[in-house]
Amino acid sequence: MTTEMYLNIKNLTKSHTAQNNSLETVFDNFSLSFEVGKITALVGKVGCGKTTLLKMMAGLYRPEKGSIEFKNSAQDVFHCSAIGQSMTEIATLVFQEYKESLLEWQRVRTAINWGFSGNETKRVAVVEQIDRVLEISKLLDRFPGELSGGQQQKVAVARALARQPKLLLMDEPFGSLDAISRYELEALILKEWLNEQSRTIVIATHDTEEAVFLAHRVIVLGEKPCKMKGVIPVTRPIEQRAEDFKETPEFGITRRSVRMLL
Amino acid sequence: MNKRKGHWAYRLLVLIFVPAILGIIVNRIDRKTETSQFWTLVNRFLYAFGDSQIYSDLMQTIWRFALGFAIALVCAVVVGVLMGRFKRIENALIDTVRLLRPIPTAAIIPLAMLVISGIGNPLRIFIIAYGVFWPLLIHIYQDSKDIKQTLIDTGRTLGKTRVQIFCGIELRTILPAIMTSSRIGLAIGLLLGVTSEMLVTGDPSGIGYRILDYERSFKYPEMLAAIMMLAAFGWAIDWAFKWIERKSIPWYKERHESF
Repeated sequence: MTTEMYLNIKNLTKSHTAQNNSLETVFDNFSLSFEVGKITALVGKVGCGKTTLLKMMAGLYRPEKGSIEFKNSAQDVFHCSAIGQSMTEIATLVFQEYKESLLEWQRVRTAINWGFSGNETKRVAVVEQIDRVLEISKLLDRFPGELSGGQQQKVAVARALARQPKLLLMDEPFGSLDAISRYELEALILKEWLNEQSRTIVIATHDTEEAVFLAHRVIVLGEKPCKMKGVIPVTRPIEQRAEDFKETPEFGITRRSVRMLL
Repeated sequence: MNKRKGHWAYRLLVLIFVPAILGIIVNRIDRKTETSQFWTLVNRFLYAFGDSQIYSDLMQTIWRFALGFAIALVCAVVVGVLMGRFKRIENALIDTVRLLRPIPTAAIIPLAMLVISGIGNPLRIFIIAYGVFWPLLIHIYQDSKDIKQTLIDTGRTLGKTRVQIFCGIELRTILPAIMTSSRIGLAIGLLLGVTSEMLVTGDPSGIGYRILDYERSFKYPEMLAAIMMLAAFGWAIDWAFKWIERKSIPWYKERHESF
């Protein structure tokens, strides 16, 4: 990691219209920086603005003031601000509503190919690798409507990975899954990061266990307006994280400190 | 897929039974005229299918229907998508749509005769297109309006351009709506095609006109034959639509099982 690379949020202000038509400030002069090439978990209560933040980082929403800047290599800087954005060129978001985000007419194979950008020879290799990591070769000819929730989520992740984004954003990725497929997918995310260690991953979740299990750093967010409450590093290297990691005292202590901040 | 296959004998029975009853009815009506022999009537009914007149009339009806339908489809997709995707266009047009849509198309035929100079084909095609347009428009507009933002954002976050999102997501999403409303429009279009041929006096032709003509010249068996031709055409085109539907929207399961 050279010091040149950064992913910074500077003086971000964003409000949205609440249910009673009043204007609610979600972010007020909010600043935060992420480590490039690492996995960061954003933990906060439901409604604290995680989704809004991720959508801005993905370039799907624009802030009213301030900016998000991502410098990934020597020449390119990607940004999202009130004036414009170029984050969509490099960031891919896996939606919380993954079911809705799958195009119902695309078979799994088509969906993954659709996500891919780049030349043909590379495509085969990338799809093969995703296939190996996510184990979806049996599903390739099915429509999303024929898949279970966990499988749909896998496909949504696979499609995002196929694009090979430098910045991968995941919004409550495993929120509605049962414990088993949840662990399976968490392990797959780690495996995928180990395959491609230059990738920056940001995961928003309200589950402290998931955050500690997946991330290099856990950032705890407070609500209304959103502010950073603290940063907790998780020291164990990614390659040493398996299910037994969750039973270690280290895990328990880290998790407790996240929960106390929350 | 084909659950009803087992009942073929029953279906054949109905298929024979219904025309037989129709035959008896025709027979009874025909008592007023000199020919009262049932078998003579059956003979004439069957011979009518060998008459080339009836086929050229059917062809007339088919191409008018096809043209009217195609015009309606293109207009409905353009207007429906614009209304669904752009709030300003929706606001501008919605009241007009609400006002015009409930008018039964048959009621505007006399008006159309006044506005479009009464010679044959353009007028008939306009009537078909007008009638088919509304169900298509409503379905396409609704589905286009209901496209979830998540779906559009999915395209954006995977780095797709505006054109790719429009063609690849927005148009694909309304495909089931187009297919469903097309089958509704089909029945309406055929109905209006036949009605317009009966009502519009310029350039008399088409199966609708022929049915009326046979009735007026007391050729009841031939009239019945013409009606059966129409039934066959309606059935064939409905079957074709179902086939297209199955091929074009294979993910759309529940639609296939229905009738």
